[in-house]
Amino acid sequence: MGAVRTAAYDGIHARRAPLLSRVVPYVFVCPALALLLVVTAYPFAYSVYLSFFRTPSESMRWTFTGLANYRAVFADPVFYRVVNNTVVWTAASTLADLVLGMIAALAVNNLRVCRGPVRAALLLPYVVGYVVASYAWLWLYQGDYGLIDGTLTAWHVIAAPIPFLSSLALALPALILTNVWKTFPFAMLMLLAGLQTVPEQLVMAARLDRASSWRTFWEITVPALWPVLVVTAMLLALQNFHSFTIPWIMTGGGPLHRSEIIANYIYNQAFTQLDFGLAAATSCIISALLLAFAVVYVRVLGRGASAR
Amino acid sequence: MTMTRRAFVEAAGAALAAVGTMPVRGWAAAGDYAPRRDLTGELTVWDWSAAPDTYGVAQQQAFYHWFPEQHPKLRFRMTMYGYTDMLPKLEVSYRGGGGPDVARTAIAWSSRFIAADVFQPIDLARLGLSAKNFWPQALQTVQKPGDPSGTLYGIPSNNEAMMLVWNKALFRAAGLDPAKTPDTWDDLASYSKRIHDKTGQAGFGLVAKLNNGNTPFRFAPVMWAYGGSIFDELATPTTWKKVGIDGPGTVAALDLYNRLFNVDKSVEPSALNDAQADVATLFLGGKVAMMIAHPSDAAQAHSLNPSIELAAGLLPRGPARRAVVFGGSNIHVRKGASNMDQVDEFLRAYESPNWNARLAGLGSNPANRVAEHAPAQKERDKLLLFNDVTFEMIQYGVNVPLVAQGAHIWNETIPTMIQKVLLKQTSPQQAAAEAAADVRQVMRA
Amino acid sequence: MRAAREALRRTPRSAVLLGLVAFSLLPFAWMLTASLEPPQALYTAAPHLVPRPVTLANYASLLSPREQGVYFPRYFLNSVVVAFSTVALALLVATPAAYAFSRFTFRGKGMLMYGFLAQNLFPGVNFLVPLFILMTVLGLRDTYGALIIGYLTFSLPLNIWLLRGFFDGIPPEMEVAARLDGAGVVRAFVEVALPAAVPGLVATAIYTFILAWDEYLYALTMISSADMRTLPLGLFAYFSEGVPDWGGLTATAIGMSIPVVIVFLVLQRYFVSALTKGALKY
Repeated sequence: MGAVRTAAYDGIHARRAPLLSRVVPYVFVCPALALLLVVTAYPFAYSVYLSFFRTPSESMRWTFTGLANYRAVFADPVFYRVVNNTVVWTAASTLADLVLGMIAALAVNNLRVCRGPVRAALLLPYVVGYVVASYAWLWLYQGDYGLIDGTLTAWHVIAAPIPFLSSLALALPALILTNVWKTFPFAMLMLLAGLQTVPEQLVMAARLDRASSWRTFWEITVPALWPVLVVTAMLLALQNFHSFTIPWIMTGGGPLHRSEIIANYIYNQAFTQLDFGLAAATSCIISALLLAFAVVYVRVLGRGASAR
Repeated sequence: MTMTRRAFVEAAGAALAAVGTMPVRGWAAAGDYAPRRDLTGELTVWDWSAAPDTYGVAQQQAFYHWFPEQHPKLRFRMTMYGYTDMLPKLEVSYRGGGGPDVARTAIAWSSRFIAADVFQPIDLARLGLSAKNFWPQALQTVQKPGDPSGTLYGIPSNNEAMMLVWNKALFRAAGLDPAKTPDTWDDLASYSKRIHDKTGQAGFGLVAKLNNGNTPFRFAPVMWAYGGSIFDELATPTTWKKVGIDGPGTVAALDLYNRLFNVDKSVEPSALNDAQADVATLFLGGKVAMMIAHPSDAAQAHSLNPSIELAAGLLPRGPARRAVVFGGSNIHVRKGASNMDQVDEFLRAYESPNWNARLAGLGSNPANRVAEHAPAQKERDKLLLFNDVTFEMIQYGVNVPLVAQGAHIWNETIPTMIQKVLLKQTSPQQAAAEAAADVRQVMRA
Repeated sequence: MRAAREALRRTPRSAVLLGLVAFSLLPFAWMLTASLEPPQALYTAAPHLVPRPVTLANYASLLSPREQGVYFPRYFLNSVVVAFSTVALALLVATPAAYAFSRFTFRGKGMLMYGFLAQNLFPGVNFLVPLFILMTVLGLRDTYGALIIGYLTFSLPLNIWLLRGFFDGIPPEMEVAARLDGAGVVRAFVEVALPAAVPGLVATAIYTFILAWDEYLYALTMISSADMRTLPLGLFAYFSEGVPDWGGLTATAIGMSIPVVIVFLVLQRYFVSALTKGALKY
């Protein structure tokens, strides 16, 4: 559709201003491109450059070390732990976002009473910041005076408080729950918008055929929502992959790096250990891994953008 | 307490006076800073804030208002950082060839920059001071390790030591003498268990968070008390070359932590995710009976919850010694700074007894020991809680690793070692051995 | 599968909604409680959701100067300046680019578009070290400029993508007509396409605003001075090595959330309609 329209406008554009027509698009794109070069391309190139240098503590000068930084990253067992955590964090958060977002969207859609307030309440976590969310959940999870442990022990559900955030097994899941709380409303919002496009007649027809709501959901709603689901999943996966704040504030990556994700790891290399070269090398490794994912990503988001 | 702060100061002062070799100007009357009104040019200073110590913050504000006022022709620029905030900024600024003329940094950061040779040597005599004005440990923190010349690449601004703070009501409830501090770390563990058994509250507030400076600050004193060390910091002279963290003293300290957390379970269950702020919150809520703290923490706790009956004493001792981390900050001058007159003027003002006392806030003590007699010290005495205890504690101060890689060892290696033991991932011996391997590796790199 | 299906059918929608709303609101309820009671009540009493006793002291303390005379209104002002500047700059630059991607065919278009999109793939922390060094060398560290430029790394690609989708959803016939009437390409863009795109611009602005208002990583790295702190950093002033001031912290958190919540709730219809019409249109 976009392509057809581009052609329609392009035709008239080329006819009206034949000389300028080739230049105009570039003029429009130019400011964005210039800014992009400053804020992204330059830092990117500088990162690659930096990754070959030792930014050692013995001298304020940088010395070329070849691939030593890369070797150091690959030799660090924590790196693999962190990559593993990041994959779990991203996949679990995104999946839970979609499931919870879908449930919420279906429940809110066509709601007759209190639609506005309910939707507002569900959207609230999306609007408040990550920092606020982190501090709020830090308190809910706190083992000694937090609401969750306090309530569960008071109701005799558990005998002793569970130290969620300092447990090897529970720290990462606990943080994922916080993240899902913060991000599922976005999935709900997108799916709710998508649900408006599901043809009402199809759903009604299925109802008349006595199809179960379960079947109606899988055979009519999901296929109709598929494009929305893909875009939403992509956006959320990226957002979750880029997360930094929740583990940073709530656990600092502990215990024993079990809740540390890649952004925390790189940040610590750069700003706690002050090893900028090492941080740059890790960034480059992550970028390389991401490039493999880039093909899928631009296919989904860049529809119709291919050059002709 | 064996000796009050005042008695100690008087004794020390008498002893020093007896030596009789001090430059006269350094020992001049308190409040002795005489500004040179004709000072021109410019001066850039980076400092870090004393927050949350409100008294300290107010003194910093007063000083940085007052100093440029004395030098109206001087273009004076000051940036106030947060505690952990300045390090990367200083690093990048110095690398870029810029950076402030003068920077005050925590001791733990000094070594990194001294090793990188970015600081100007400082001549105490030119400032009217001598080595005798400062604690010997403090001067070590501004020297290059093993440098026979003893050149000073900075000047101590303030020094302090932590102490043990406890809740008297919880001691009483557990049938313990509320005025008596546990004498040894072993006693502390027994106290903790007893308090937990009798009251259900945590006996001791354990700080074991990963990647957090609070954790090693509280573990190292136990390690040293049992004769353990990261390098050879308990020996004189310290070479900082021999790695000793896998010794029996470290293992004994890890055993003590393990006993508190896993065997007796007498500490708060969230210890592995707790920094000092979390333990202080629990202490304030009456959920922790003992914690290792600065005097300013005690003052803050008192103001936030006056109903808590506070007491403070020396940190417990171990079979080898009583020890505490020697804390504080240093002021450094950028190498190649061309405005040495201006720099000297600033240093003279900062180290002048009255200002040095006031700028130490409630969380620390003046580095210039003459300031202990300054009139401003009397003003502080009214506000300080347990300053005599922390002052007495300073003599047991041992330095943090004074090597360029200190930050990694301190914030990463030691907390990881502790967590491995508390989470039962490895035995204490194994954890200490792995920590030693890690230290050797970062020292090689 | 069958059991799940049965369970799903038996669960009334209201119960699901109630559960979801409770899940969403519980952390806020706690924050509100904490912000309305004296700090000690928080950790001396058993966990509770009713303030005991109710006090407005924490909110009052927001208006009294804290560290170095800097306090909540200043953090708020900094956040407003940074967030609005980011939104304005991103829209200013992204709108023409998005328009070009939607309306024109030109050599290198695909590559450029992919370039913009690909940038969003990489986490902000990847750009952090080089930007930090760059800002330090340029003397921009610790200024609004450092944050605004930093925030463009994530807002620019998203803006271009969202707006392009939105322009795609606007029929070009009006612009074609305008051009046939003799309007130039810039006039057709400014006078015809832009007014039609207002809902999309608003939605994009909201999206960017929320990201910038909440941004923490760049602010943490670039900002040093107390009077330059944005709200997320301002929260830290309450959480230091001593005892954290949870009352002040939660009051600040509530205070910083209220404006975004109001703006978002008022404008959310734009947001939803823009997403439906633009980004999700196939």
